[in-house]
Amino acid sequence: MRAVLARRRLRSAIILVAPAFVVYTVVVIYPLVASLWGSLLDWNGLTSGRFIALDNFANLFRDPYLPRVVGAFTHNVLWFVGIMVIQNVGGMLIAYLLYTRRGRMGFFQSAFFLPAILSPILVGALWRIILAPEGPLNSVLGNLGVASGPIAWLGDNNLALPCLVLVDAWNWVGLPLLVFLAGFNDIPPEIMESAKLEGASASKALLSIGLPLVMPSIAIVSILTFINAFNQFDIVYIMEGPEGNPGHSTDVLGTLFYQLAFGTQGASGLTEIGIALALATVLMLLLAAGTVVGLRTLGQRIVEF
Amino acid sequence: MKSRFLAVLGSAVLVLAGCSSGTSVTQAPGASAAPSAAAAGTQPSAAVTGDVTVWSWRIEDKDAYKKMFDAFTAKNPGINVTFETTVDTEYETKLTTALRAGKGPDIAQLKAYGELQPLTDAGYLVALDDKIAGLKDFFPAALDGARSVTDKKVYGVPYAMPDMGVFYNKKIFADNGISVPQTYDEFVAACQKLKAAGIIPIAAGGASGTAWALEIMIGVVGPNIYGANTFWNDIESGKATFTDPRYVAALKRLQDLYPYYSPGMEGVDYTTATQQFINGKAAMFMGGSWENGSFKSQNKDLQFDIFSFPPDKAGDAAYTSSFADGSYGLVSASKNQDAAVKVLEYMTSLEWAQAYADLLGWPAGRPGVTANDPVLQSMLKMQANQTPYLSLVGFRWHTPTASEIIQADIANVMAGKMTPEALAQKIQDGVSTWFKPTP
Repeated sequence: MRAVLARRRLRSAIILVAPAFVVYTVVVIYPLVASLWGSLLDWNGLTSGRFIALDNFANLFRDPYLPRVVGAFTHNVLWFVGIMVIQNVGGMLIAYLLYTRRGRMGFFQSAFFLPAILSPILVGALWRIILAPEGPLNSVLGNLGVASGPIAWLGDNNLALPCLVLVDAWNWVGLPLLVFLAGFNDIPPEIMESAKLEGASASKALLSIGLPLVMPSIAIVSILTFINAFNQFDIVYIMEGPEGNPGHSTDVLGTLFYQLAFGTQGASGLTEIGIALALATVLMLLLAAGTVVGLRTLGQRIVEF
Repeated sequence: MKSRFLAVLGSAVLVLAGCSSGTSVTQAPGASAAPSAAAAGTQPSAAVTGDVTVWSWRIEDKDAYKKMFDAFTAKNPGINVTFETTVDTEYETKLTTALRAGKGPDIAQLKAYGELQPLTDAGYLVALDDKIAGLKDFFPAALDGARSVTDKKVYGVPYAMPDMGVFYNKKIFADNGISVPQTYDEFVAACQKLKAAGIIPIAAGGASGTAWALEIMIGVVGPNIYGANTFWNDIESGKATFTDPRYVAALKRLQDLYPYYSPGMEGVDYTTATQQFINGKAAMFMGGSWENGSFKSQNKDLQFDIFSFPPDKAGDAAYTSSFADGSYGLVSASKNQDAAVKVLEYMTSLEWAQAYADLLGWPAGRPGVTANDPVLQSMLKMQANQTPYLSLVGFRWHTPTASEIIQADIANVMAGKMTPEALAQKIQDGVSTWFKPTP
C-alpha cells in the first residue's frame, strides 16, 4: 500500500515539474550545450565547420584578442571593486545610520531603492543626457567655477569607466541598504544596548559588533555584486555602445562577447563566433568558480550569537 | 494513470523536438527554390502576386520608401510590399539571427564589401546576375559593393553611391559674410569668424558608440591631403602603408581642426551633433549623402548645401570619398521569390532611381538620374573628383578592420590625447595581419 502511494506521489511530482523542466531545458540547457559545443568548432562567418577542440580557447588568449580580453577582465574587476566600495559600503553606512537613529526608515528605504526599479535603458539614457558635454552636470560645475570648459565625461578614456560604475552604484544602492537594514534589525537589541552602556562609540559598535553579526547579509550581497559585476552589459551598452568606447576603456566581458558574436556595429558586421563562444564559456566557468569559492569562504565566517 | 503519464511525457518530448530549430548550423549553398521564369520580365501577363517583405535599417527613410513601393504596387497590382525597419546598430544581428533560423524577409537590405561576404558564403542569398536584367545598367563600382569575392556574382541591387563632404548652413554663412572656402586657409578663417560670432563652426561627435561618424570625417578631409587615388593605388599595391606620412598628415589635419568642433566633442554623440547642425547652432557638419534626406525631414526650413573639403592650394582638385553603400538582395529562404524578383527588377529601373534621388537625395548607383534637388546637384558635381572611401572599400574585409581600430581611438587623436602616428601604427599593425596587397 505504501509503495503504491509513494509511486503515485513520485508520478504526480514528475508530471507537475515536467512543464517547467521542459521550458528550462529549451531556454537554458539547450542553448548552453549548443554554445559549449559551438566553442569547440571552427567558424567561418556564420557557418560552423569542423571540430577543432580547444583551438578557439587558445586563440582567445593570443593576439589580437588577448589585450582585449585582459582589458575587459580588468575593467570587470575594477567594476566589482568600485561597486563594493561605493555601493555596498555606502549602503551599509546608510543602513547603520537609519538603524541607530531610528529615523523614518520606510521613507528613506523607498527613496534609496527608487532607482533600482527603473529600467536600465532609462537609467543609461538619463545619465547620458546628464553627463553630456552641454548637459546639466557640466552646467552646474561651470556655474560653481570648478571646471574651465565642458568636460567630456563619457568621452574621456580615464573618466568613462568610473562614471559608468558610479551610475551602476546609484542604480542599485537600495539593495544593500535593504539587506543590511534587515540584518541589523535582526540583532537582539540587548547587545547594542549593553555596548552603549559600556561606552562604545558608534563606529566601534558598528565595526566590532554590527559587522560580524550581519556577516550572512554581507556574504549574500558580496556574491550578488560579484555576479553582477562580471555579467555587466546593460549600462555599458546603453551609455557607451558595445565597442568599449572611448578607446576600449569601457570594454567589459559582456560587451566584448557581443562584439565578437555580432560584429562591431558601424565598423564591421564581421563575426568571430568561435572566439565569442569560447569567451562565453570562460566567463561562465569564472562566475561558477567565483560563486562557489565565495560561498565556501564567506559562509564560514558567520558569527553565532 | 500510466497512459496519462506517458502522454504528458510524450508531448513534452515533442515540444522539445519541435523547439530545437537550427541544430544543423551549416546551410546548403543558395539554391533558388522558385523557377526563375519571371526573371527577365518577359511575361507581363502571368500575374505574379504575393506579399513581399523588405527589411531595412533606414528608419529615417520609411515614408519615402512607402511612396516608392506604392508606385510599384500601382503598376503591379497583387504584389503588396511591406517595408520593415530596424535601427542600424541592431539590423545585422536581427537579420543574421532570422536567416540562420530559416526565416527573415523576402528582400533584405545588405551592407557592402566585406560585410556582405558572410551572408553570401553561408548561402542565405540568391545570385542575381541572371535574374535581374536591369543590373547591367549600373555603374561597375556600385555593383562591386554587392559582389561576393568567392564566386564574383552580384547578390544585390545597389541603391546608392553616396559621397561625403561639408554640409553648411547657407543662412549662417550669408549672415556672417562667409562664402564657400576654396582653400584650406580660407576654411580655417571662416571657422575663426564663426567661433568669434558664438556659433559652433563644425558640429562633430562620435561618442557612445557612434564613432563611425568620426571615421567619415577622415573620408571628408583626408583625400586632398593623402593624395586621393594615387594613395589608394599605392596602399592597395603595397607601395604604401597607413604609417605613410601622407596618411598621418590627414589624421593630423583632423587634430588641427579640434578648436572648431563642438565643445567637448569627445563626449558628444553623432545624433547630438546632427541636432546641433539641424537646429542652426552649428554652421557646418561633415557627413555623407545620407544626411540630405534626413536633415530635410527633420527641419524643412533649414537652408543648406554641401561642398567638398577644399584643397591646400588654390586651383587643385577637391576630392570626395565615395563608396557603394549597399544593396537589396533576394533571400534564398523566401517563399515569394517570383514577386520579390519583380520588386527587385523595379528597383533597377530609372523610375525608382529618380524617385530615390528626389525623395531621399542620394546619388544613384546607375546613370540617367536628373537632380531636381540642389543639394543632390552639388553631390553629383562632387562626384567628378571621387576616390574610394579608403577604410571601408579597402580595409573592412577581415577583422581587425581598419574601421574598428580607427573608431576606437580617433576621438582621442582629434582631442590631442593621442598622436596621429600612434593611431596610424595601430591601424597598420591590425590590418597587416590579414591584408594582402595586390601589386
